Amino acid sequence: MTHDDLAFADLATLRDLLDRRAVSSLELTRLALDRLAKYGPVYNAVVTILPERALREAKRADRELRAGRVRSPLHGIPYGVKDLLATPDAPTTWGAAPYRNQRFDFDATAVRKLADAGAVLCAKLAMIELAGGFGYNDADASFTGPPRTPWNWRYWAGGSSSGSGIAVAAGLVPFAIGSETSGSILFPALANGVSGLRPTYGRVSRHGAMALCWTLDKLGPLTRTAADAETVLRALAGADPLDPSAEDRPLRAPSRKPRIAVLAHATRGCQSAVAANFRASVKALESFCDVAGEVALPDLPYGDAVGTIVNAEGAAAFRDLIESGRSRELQSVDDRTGGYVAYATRAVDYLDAQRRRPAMIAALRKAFGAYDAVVAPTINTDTYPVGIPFDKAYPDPKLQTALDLVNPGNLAGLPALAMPNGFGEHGLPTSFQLLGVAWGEARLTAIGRRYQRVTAFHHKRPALLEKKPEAEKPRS
Amino acid sequence: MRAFDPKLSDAQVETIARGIDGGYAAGQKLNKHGRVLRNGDEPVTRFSVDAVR
Repeated sequence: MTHDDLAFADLATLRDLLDRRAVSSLELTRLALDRLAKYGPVYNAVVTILPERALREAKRADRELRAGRVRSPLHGIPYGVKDLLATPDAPTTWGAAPYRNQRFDFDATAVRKLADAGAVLCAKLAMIELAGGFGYNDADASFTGPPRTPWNWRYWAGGSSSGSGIAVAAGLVPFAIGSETSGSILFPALANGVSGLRPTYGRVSRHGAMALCWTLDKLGPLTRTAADAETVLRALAGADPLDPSAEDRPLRAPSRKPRIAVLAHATRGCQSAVAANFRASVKALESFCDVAGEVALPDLPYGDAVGTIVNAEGAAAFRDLIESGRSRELQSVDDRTGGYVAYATRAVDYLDAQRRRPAMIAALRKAFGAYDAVVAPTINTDTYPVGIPFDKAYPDPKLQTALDLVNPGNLAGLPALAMPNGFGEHGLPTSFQLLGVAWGEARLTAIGRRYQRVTAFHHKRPALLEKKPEAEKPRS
Repeated sequence: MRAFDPKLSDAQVETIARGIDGGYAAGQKLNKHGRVLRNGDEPVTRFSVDAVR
């Protein structure tokens, strides 16, 4: 097996190699550290590499493997985390210049659980500043530079879990942890051509994670495959006395044939390749699922509700930053003013959004609750070019008519799995999502495993650059 | 907002004002859908996916 093959191997392959002593955790970890150092800066994927911690954890993993102890399927396997998870080894920057020297003296619960599972933390990965909470409108919204997809350096890696997506897509680490308030796992999964699993709200403890929005934030994995996503989720899931929202719930799929529905008008407003690839995905799903036909998304103001809630809770979470005037240190020009906009959200609007939320969740449950998954394109376009405001990237008015499952799914706290399903313009990946029922992640990954058995998009590897093809705007 | 950052330019203050108007418009749109909220309709103050039966 070549180093490249190892770098792009899925978790089951790595587990087998480790268990057979065909490779050691130390070798995998050194490979990850080398690739993070070599490719991370090219794509602006990394905030801090953690060689001391990684080598220490890898040596421990190897010692235990030699003694016959395997803590979990992740034992000895390297990974990275979005730099909004606290660790004591390095700053936890939240992707934002005002916090570039911020330190915590403990591991976030997610990091601790992965350490208990024997995984090896190698890096804190780049992210959109403050997880995008202040309304950024272009790719240059991280103090570490605009994150770029390994599939085309001139295009954005998505956000806000940007580095987590890049690191998996470029074979820097076998898996990474991201977070989603509304879209921050699914969009990087799309932009980088990897699998991204947004868990049910409450499945994973957020203790030690930056809070943007207490009633919407979730942590979840970005991985090579749907099977890998489930493996990582099993290590992360569960109650935590330090996060009252986190619960112990079963994570299993029924043994019957999956029952899915297609979102009505799912390809309306989609780029042609996104629509064609989605139709091909549905055809592949038909080979092993009962497809019940189309279901309509109830016409409700999900986006307005999510926007109002993110603004109000985000402004409260970052009140100290806003009132200090240090928003001016943020990278994105929109973020420098967006905090003030959020700060002025009316209390009555926030409360009415939260008063309307149960009715919107009930409507979604009534429409979608009979299915293991409702399928739709992850979003209606490829990812956006770096250097152009997002709202100007694809100005075709037809594209503005697309339906959106990201805001409804997040408002209701529902799980979703995004998987690559082909390529669109400029060599960029396209993706589709399975939106599930509450606590139904295993149903999604069961469908995802079957889908990835009959397709090969998750095996594609980008041709990586060893240096930036042109100079970037200097950082402040 | 200049109380927090005296260096905000006029253009930035204008951008903030437009954004605040947009936020108020979103709040208005929320209440154009569905039934009129009644006095007893409580907000979600601690979210759980199981809060709605």
